[in-house]
Amino acid sequence: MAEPILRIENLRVEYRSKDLGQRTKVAVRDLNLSVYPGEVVGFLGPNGAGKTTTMNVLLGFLPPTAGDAFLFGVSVRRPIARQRIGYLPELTYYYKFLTAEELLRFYGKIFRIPARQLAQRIDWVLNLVELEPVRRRLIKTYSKGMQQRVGLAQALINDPDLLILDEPTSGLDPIGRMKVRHIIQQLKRQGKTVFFSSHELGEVETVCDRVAILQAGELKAEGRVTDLVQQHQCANLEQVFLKIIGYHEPSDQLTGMAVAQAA
Amino acid sequence: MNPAISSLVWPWRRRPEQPAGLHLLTALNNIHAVGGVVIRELYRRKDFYVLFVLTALITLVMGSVNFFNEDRIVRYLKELCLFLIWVSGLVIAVTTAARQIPAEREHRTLFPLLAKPVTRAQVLLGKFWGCWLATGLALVVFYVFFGVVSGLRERQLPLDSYWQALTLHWFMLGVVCALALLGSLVFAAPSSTNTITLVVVTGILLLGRHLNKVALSLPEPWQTVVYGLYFVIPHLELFDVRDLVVHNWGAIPWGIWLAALGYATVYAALLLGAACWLFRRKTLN
Amino acid sequence: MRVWGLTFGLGLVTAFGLAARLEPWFQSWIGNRARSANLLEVALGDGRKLFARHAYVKADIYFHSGVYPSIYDLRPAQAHMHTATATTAGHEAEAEEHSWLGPPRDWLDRFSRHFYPTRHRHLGESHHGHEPGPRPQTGSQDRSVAGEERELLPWLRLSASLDPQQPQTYVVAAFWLRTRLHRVNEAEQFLREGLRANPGHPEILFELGRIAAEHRNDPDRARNLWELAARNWQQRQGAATDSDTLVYAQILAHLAKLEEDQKRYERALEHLQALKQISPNKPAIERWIHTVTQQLHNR
Repeated sequence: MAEPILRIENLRVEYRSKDLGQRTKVAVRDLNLSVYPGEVVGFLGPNGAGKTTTMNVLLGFLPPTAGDAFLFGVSVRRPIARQRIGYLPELTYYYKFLTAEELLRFYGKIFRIPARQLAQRIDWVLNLVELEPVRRRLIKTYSKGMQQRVGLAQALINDPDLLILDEPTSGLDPIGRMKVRHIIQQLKRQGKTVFFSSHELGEVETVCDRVAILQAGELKAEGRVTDLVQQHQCANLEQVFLKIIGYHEPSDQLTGMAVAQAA
Repeated sequence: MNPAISSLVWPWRRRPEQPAGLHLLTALNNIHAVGGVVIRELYRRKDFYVLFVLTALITLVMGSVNFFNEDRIVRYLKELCLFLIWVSGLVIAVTTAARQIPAEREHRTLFPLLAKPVTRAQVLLGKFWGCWLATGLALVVFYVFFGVVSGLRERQLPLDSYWQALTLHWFMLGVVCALALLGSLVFAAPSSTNTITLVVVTGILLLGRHLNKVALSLPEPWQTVVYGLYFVIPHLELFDVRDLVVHNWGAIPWGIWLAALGYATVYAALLLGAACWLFRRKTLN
Repeated sequence: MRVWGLTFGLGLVTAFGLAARLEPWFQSWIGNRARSANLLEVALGDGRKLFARHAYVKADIYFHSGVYPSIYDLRPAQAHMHTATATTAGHEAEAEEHSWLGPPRDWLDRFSRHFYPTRHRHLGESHHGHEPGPRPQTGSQDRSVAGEERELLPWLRLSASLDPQQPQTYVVAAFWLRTRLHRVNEAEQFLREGLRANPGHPEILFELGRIAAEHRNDPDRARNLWELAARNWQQRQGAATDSDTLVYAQILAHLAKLEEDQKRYERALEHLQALKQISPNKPAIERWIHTVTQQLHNR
């Protein structure tokens, strides 16, 4: 089996919170996860499960308390580990005083892409995300959807081998979500590896090869979507997800309460 | 992927594994790239243009005042113009530097940047480089204006003096930029950083030269404390050669000029080192 | 659109009507304050005197080409300003008086002295090659710097605008205007302005007399002005300071000289006798009296 592109080993992240009276909050608890080349892996979990914390560690924003993570065999603590990745944050904010073209040229410079190739690359990604007509407009004039697409463009500027997307369809309309889904599928066909978190389980089910489900910092389930559905005897991924995190329908509770009161 | 592109060699993807430390050229490239963004921001904001227009307007209005029908009075105009340039330079340097990191954190533009193969130190140094370059560009415009105004009145242009004044001013603002960047990592709000940096810088400019005299008049242990402070603070007033320019004292020896630039470089490096150390330990959220 | 226009028009009419209604009431209320139509007076109030003083000191700083003690260097001897008497005081003595910097206290102090003016110099003095100074005009070998005193004028003008009740400002400016800058008309105009603000001030009258005598060739007018100045000085004698006494001495000396030149020796002797009472250099005055007396006898 090929070496994993992304390897998380016994990752533990703890916060010391003033709100909790300086007690330690464990955000990620002994996480082990691997992502192999060419896979599209969905990283799921309810809010506060530790998904963004894990991604922050992968991207070097946050040092782990224990354990480590590796990108292409290089520890994430080293900046060179990020040479071949692209990252789309959940909240897409970019320099409002730049145009899309200038922003991509800036990021391309950081990747040391030669000028001529960079110009071609910028043209290509802007066409891909359908921002070519507005490439010279300042980003502050863009709509939410356009800013999201700029985010996708900057994540692709260096032709990355691994894409880390944090809720890529967040805030998008159905057409926008479809376009993003289409791009992920296109990247998958090109042999790229995609690791993304999302709350849109329908989309995850459509595009992902594997999913990993996190809750309270712990990895609760991992595997192929079809295998998980079969294993947990559920109809779809959403039910698997709800079952794993132990969520019960509110109607059951109300019915139960009404029955108890009547009794 | 576009077939035409896929057939091209993408050297940054096929580059062999980098050594343990980042290559110096890569670091300089990143610093320069980040600095370029800062410069672009400065000339797309209105601050510089407003300050320049104000300076030019006030200078030209004051230059049109008639004093006893003497049309060759120039020193008051030079002093006024240089004073406005100094105020404008300080405002540009402090406000530009103080808002860099807080704005990146507040607008969350820091995350996509740090997700690239760039270290926090390179981001900080890039911000400094951009602020300092941007300030230098602004100063060039201001000093050219000053040169034109004084040259037309005085009918002479001591280029060596003006060049020294410009470069000393620029290097002084480098120390100020570094100080403001450090302050922006210590204080939460840019307004706090602006105020404190301006107060500190103004205090040094006004009192720095005289601290040793003040120290000598104090009893111990305050004399030692103040004298120690006198040696520790960056003496920004060294770079204020306005009196020499206004009163036509001529250029200072070039060796002394170079030593002063070196002095500023050392202090800027120390402040930036402290800022890098702080930034590495800061949580980004 | 019409509604906005009508509303705007109504607002204008109301504003002008109110202004017309309130103006007479305001005029009756403002009383003595109506005299101060000066923007600076209204904006700064009595604080303008501080700014005027600062502007006057600035003129002195300019006279010394930026070489000036700070408040941390001040000693009593440096409190005296001599922008008007630079030509009379000994340059070397003044240089010694201005050695307030002293030797450098440390290496930083020594290094910093390259970055601000430290050598004693007056405006209008020529320079030699080894001394710092203004660049000569392009193509010119002449290093004369005559007329540099013009640089004092803006600060003196500002000081007078801020505090017209400082006669010294007018006197100093007039001195430089007429002696070095050859602008006698401007000097006279400025002195008259000072006289309007300080009616009958002896020093201003004295300077006006000097203009009449030295530039207008009008000895009678000069005599009238100096005699008026002397009378006014005597009326103010109760508040005389050392510098005021010096002014009176100068008035008497000039009157004596004028009368001597006009061969009115008796009047000259009267002035010299009065001068002898207050002059610190009595032997010199006595010799002068002796000379005039001889001239009187030889007539």
